[in-house]
Amino acid sequence: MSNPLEILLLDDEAIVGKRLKPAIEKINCNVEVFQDPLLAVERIKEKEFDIVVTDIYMDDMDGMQVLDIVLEKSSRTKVIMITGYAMISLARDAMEKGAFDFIAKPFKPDDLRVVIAKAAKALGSPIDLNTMIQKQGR
Amino acid sequence: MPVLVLSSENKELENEIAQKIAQNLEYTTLNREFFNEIADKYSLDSKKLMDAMTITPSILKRMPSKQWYYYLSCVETEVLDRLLEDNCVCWGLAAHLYVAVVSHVLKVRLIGGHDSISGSDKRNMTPDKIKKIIAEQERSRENWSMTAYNKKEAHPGLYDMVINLDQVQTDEVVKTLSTTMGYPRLKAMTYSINNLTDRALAAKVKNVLLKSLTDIQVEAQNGTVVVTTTSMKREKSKKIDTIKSLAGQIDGIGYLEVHWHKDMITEAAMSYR
Repeated sequence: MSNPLEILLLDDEAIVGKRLKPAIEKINCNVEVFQDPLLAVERIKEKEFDIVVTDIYMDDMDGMQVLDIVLEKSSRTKVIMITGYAMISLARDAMEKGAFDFIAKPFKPDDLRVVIAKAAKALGSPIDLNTMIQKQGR
Repeated sequence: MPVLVLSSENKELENEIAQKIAQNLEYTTLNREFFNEIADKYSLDSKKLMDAMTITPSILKRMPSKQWYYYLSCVETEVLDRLLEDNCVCWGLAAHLYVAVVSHVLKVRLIGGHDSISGSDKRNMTPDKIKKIIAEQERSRENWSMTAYNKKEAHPGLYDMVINLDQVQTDEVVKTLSTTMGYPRLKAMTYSINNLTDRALAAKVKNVLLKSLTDIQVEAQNGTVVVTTTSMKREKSKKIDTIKSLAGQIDGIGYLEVHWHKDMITEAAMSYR
């Protein structure tokens, strides 16, 4: 099995990280969860993550700013934007800035796993979702 | 997989521009040639199907309202299904009126270009006569789009871009739109693909229901389908059961909900009898 992907998950609602972390860990990923964007950014500056999953609307700093900081630090990192306030203009702006994908909430953990698998493939470390989930048990 | 949807007052120029862009980008094309395929699939008269895209329902024109909505629904269902497949340039199928909130679809309105609209006929007409014909065509299209989708086709707010063919050369339009289609902001993403998938699912459900029912509105989100309908109170259960049974045949529905409203006008009319 290849090295686990390093993922940072940022959402100011605790329930999101609590629900998604175990789901993502099932597909051979190490997940660090943050609720505070400022702390997440500190961590991003310290460590190069393979994938960053970030909410967009948060206090102190929004997901678009986080996207800029991540890509400035490492252009190979894939940034996945998640939001409960999806709009066509926001989605297009995120893609223009270099987001890898954009998902509207609510979504199922499976939906995020599929996008992470797409990002893993783009990073050259493909994930076989079915085999991994079967192995770990849903 | 971005998609370009064109709408224009000048069908000849629209066709030329669309074909050139598709060729440049190696995209597939989706236009009125698709009518025959749709007519075959649904066993419809292709001439009538084409008529439904230009005329509003009328007994005199032998196009009753129920049939007209069903024909439009067949076109919408098949176009949305095809747009899910690949890079595509689409025109002449009114997609600009039913493909909304899909960020990888660029909707462009081409206005003007009337100089070439009338071709040889134009030589025998005064400028006033030409203006009158164009105004009449515009009125007729607006009436059609309002009746069909409750949208004014010429309203710039429907589009990402409006290009005046009287001011911009055809080749320049082709070049500009070919470049624009490569912009990262038009890249398909999970959000936009889901939006288009939901639209396609809603269209499929509506199509199945419109075959035998009227007063049907359908919305879908993440596989949850909501059907809104009206009928007389005494027909409520029967109509809801029919909707559930017909819609149940469609793949991809996660959850189906039927919202029923009383048809106050018919109820009032019946109570007078």
